Amino acid sequence: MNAINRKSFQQLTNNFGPEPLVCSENPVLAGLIEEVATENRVPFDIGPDSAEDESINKYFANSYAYVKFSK
Amino acid sequence: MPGKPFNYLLLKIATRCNIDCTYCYWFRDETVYDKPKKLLREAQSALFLKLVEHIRAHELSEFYILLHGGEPLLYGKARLREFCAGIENVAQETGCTIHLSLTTNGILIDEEWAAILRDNRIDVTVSIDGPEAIHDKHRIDFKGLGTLSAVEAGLNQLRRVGISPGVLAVCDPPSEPLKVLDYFVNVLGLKKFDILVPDSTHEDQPHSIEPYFKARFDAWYPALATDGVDIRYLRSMMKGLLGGVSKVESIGYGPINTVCMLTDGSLEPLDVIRITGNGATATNMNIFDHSFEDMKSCPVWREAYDASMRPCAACLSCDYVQACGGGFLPHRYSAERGYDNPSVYCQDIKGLLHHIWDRIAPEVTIQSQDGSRKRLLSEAFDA
Repeated sequence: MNAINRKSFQQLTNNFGPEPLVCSENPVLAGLIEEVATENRVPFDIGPDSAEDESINKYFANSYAYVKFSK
Repeated sequence: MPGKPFNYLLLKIATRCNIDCTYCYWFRDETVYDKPKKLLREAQSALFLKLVEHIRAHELSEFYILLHGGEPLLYGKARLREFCAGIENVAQETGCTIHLSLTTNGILIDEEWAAILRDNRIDVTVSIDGPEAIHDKHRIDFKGLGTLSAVEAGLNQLRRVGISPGVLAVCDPPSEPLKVLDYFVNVLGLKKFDILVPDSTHEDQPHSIEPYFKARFDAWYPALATDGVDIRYLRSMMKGLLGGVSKVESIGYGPINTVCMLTDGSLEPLDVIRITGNGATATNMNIFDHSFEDMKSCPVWREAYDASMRPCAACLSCDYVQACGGGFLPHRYSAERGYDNPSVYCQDIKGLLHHIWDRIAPEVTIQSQDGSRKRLLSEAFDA
């Protein structure tokens, strides 16, 4: 896997259990991880308007709500 | 209806431009010339009324308007002052904070313009592509002459009145990216800027951007990024790779939900979609007869919105779909399949994302809650 996405995050939780901690000593990456962790706890604000939208929206929405930031 | 109420408007206050950039997306659609040169007074008045209605109906506390062109300063000083006074009235009437921003080529900015922009708290972004040899290759006037010296004068004028403008560049893929970084950081002293991909569809044969962006990332990430220099496009890619949602429309997964108002009051989807063909953004909607929310039922607007939310099948099975979003919508267009394609830059973007992941994943660790399992992210999928 070459990115954290819905599929790969499932694999990470399989390997590291629920709510794994993601962190970095690099300040740029630490800042981004914190942003991701904060924003992904907010529900995706795109309202589905059809069954197809619904399935696509579920594909992405809140997929990484368990990524946490730690220093 | 999709999403929250609109809180952003792309407003074309002038449709013409005072320079003749070789890559400009706007004039690729010749129907632009059918529109009035400047925002009509009656369209401006209708906009103020519709803003009040919209803000009240949806109880908005903030609304964002990007003043755009063509070259928006061709609107003129008196007209912009008048517009800002009208916006101030809307804000007072509704209690809503209305944020104004403006993207300009910078050439017309003199002391008076700078004061107008400062006094009306307008966030300014100036288009600069790099040092003279790079900027003046594409950003030329109608005599074919370079424009950088005039742009720098405008930038300095803004700084003299206390404005720190943002800078937006379009990359020239065959050029040397390190020269652009050096110019932006060491000559202009910028801490935050963006360098975008030239707009192209599958009907074009754009130059590969991968080597350019890789070299730029390699120069930026280890040194400049930790010094606080922010390049939005690269930062958004990194955020997407870490599972985040990009806040920019040009990269990352998210909706194209822009409403663009033209100088005659017509309402359209995102302006860059014009590169897909003459009249591609034309709708039967306008500020006189329709509300902003009516746009959500406009077939042209809906097509862009729906397509932006539905990357093509190949993209949905790609590791990078979160970080890339299936490509910037106009870049996905082909005459044969519409938007049902990856980006025309797909292979370049994949190569770049792979390059970035290889650089950042070894610097991120992931561990179980109890700390018993811990790995570098680059090795975590094999744990």
